[in-house]
Amino acid sequence: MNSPVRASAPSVWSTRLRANWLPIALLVAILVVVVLAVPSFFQSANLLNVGRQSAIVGVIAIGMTFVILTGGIDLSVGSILALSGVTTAMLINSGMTIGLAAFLALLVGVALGVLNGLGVAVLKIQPFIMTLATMVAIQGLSLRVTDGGPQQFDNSNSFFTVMGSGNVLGVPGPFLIFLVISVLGVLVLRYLPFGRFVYAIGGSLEAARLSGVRTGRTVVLAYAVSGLCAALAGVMTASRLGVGDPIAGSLSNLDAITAVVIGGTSLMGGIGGAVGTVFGALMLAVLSNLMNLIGISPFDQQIVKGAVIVIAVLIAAETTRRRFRTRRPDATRVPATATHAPLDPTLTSSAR
Amino acid sequence: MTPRLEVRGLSKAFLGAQALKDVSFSLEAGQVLALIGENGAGKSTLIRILSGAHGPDQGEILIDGNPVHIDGPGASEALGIATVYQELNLFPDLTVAENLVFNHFPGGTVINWNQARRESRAFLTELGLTLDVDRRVRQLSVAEKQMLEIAKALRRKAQLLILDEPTAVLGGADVDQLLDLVRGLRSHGVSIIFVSHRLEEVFGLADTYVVLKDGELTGTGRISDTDHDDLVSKMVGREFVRGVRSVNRELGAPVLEVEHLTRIGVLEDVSFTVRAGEVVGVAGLRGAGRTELARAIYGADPVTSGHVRLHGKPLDARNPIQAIGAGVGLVPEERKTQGLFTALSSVHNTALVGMVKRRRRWVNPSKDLAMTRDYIRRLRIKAPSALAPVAVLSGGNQQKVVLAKWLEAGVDLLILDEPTRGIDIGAKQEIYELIEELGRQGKALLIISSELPEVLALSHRVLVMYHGRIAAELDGDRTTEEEIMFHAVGGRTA
Repeated sequence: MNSPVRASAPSVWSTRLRANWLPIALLVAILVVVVLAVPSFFQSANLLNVGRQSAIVGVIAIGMTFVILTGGIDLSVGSILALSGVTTAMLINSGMTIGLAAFLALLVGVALGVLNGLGVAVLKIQPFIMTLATMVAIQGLSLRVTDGGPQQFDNSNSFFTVMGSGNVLGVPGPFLIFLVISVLGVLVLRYLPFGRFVYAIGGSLEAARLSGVRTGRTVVLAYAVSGLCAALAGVMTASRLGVGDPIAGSLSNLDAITAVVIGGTSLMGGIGGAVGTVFGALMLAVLSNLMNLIGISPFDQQIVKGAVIVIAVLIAAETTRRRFRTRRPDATRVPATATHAPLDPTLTSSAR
Repeated sequence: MTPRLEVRGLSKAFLGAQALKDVSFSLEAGQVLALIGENGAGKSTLIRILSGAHGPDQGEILIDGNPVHIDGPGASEALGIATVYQELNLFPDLTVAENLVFNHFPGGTVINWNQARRESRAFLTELGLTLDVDRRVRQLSVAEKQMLEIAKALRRKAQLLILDEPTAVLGGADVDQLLDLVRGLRSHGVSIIFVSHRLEEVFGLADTYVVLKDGELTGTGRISDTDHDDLVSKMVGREFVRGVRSVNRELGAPVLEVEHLTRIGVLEDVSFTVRAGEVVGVAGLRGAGRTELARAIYGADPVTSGHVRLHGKPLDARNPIQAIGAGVGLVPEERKTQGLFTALSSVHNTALVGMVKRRRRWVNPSKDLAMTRDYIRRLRIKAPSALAPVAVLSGGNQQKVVLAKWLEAGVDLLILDEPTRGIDIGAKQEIYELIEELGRQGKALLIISSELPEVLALSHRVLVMYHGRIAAELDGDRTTEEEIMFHAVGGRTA
């Protein structure tokens, strides 16, 4: 009890591994079952397919992770996805270059995210309600500008096609985008003060305020990130389908939330991260792919998926509980005299 | 006549700390007993035992002469004991009537709401209360909520009513109304245990008194046989060894100057200065405006008028960001919800404010980790790892993380609100040494504390607050607990 710190402090990496072991373990477990039961899963064509399938929900889920970490939720991502795709298609049809059209579609996503954020941070509307309202309204907007019909556009630009369906060096384009966004998400959460503030706000809004965090700005930015990711997923979807579909991605908000939660991020905010979300999204894609390979009917697939969500969340809750029940090297059991030695005098060194 | 309540030799210990030691007293039917003592004297423990939240380690409780075991809140209620805590147990979004009949609904299986409202109205009238039964509790004043809570207790036929500091959060006229209600209940034969810090109320209301100090009974008897000074000395009269303060420190220029700071209904014309290297203690009772003063200086709450200067320059922070930028730090009263992010690691907690203050563009996790490990070593923080969530640390170690956060950010003025509440004695001593060390470094320190020995041990000067004002400014070397308490309970200098 003499040394306040344990002799061998655990490394950052081992701590991170422990924090994320649940989604990783689940993924590995599923893969092991697969090796034994469905060898065809590991054919490269199928693996690439899984990557492709995980990409769009994965990109949305990374953005969603930011919002959920603040203790919020973003239900409007599916609608933003659709509007972004529609925007891209219609701007291309109006004669704009594909790059500019896609860029403007992303800006639309950011703007709608800012709107969500302002509603939550400034008007103090509950995130669920605010984004429910924008979800409905944005959906309506997409239907209105398209008259309800999918917008075909010239999708012959090879670079653009890669975003939705093509391959780069044999790897599906959308999966590459997902990976890039994931890495960015991890880096932002870890290496930018903004990322630290997101966790702080999810931990305690009042403590964050008293620590000098600009809470309003941070919340708005988190929703903007979510809007941007959703819009990017919309551009990818448009590229893949070759149309801007006003009803595309209508359930992708729930898929994205599922990926985040399976990835171990707490809906209460402050706990979790983007690494878990990546595994969560991959796990969902692997699960659907497997069930397709085995030949489980789509109806039964939904039932299985529901069960997997419950199991994953139960395990996640247990992991968190364990992490918070580390043994306490508590001073209460130490005789008071043992702690009375003077503090390290180096405390003064900075002042002298 | 058999007393309504008799307590014999009651003792209770928590984790080795003796909260109650061999306490005995009795209370007759239709009498008011004032239970007084400092914060932490054992009043709450006594109340919790009577209301069934804790079991006693030793001793007997007799109701109307019969020994009883109060092994839960239900048992307490069945014995006719009702407790009204400071934190009210009302449903804010239900109406007065809905709250009043809750769990004792009229009309059998299907609730008869008309009957409930009728009964509620009649019952409140009987108590002499004029509350609209259809109003939502959220819209009531604090005083009205308090009365409703008492009415709720009485509706369950309570014969012994325990009121835990019912007047602490009330203003003048509301207090009078509440005291009238209590007098009315007494005349109907209800026995009342009344906890209050305000001695003037005690003298105006109680028949008998019980004084606790450090868990022991230091005085009991008829209120007519005692006086103000006698009660104060029974509350605080303890041996105390002067603490760690270096008496002859040279103080520097004024760091904090507060001028006529006012927030309507909370702070009234507060003025004082704190100089470099000086420790100024703020004493006073709960609700006297101490925390509000800290938050106003820090920019966490708005002020109506008045000014705050730091190093002679106007600060008048409208938000914490401005205060932090100017070199002010706050260690808040609510450690777990305001001082820390309990789900986050020590590293994350320690680095956050410095990150904001220096407007850092990037986070350098390995540098932050090294910095945090350095503080863990220097402040002797006992943590399984710098990366473990601070929720797993003990209270004292959590508080050291809060202090590390401000040391890392760098402050000229540190405001500490109840810095050692809920902290074990060893860590407490270390935090005192740290405060003293900061003073030696020339920081200005403002320390709010309910523990008078702590205030005396640390402070060069003591400000005593009462009802949002500074009631007295006392010399930390010469003042006594009695003198501080005298001003804190609203005593007037002749």
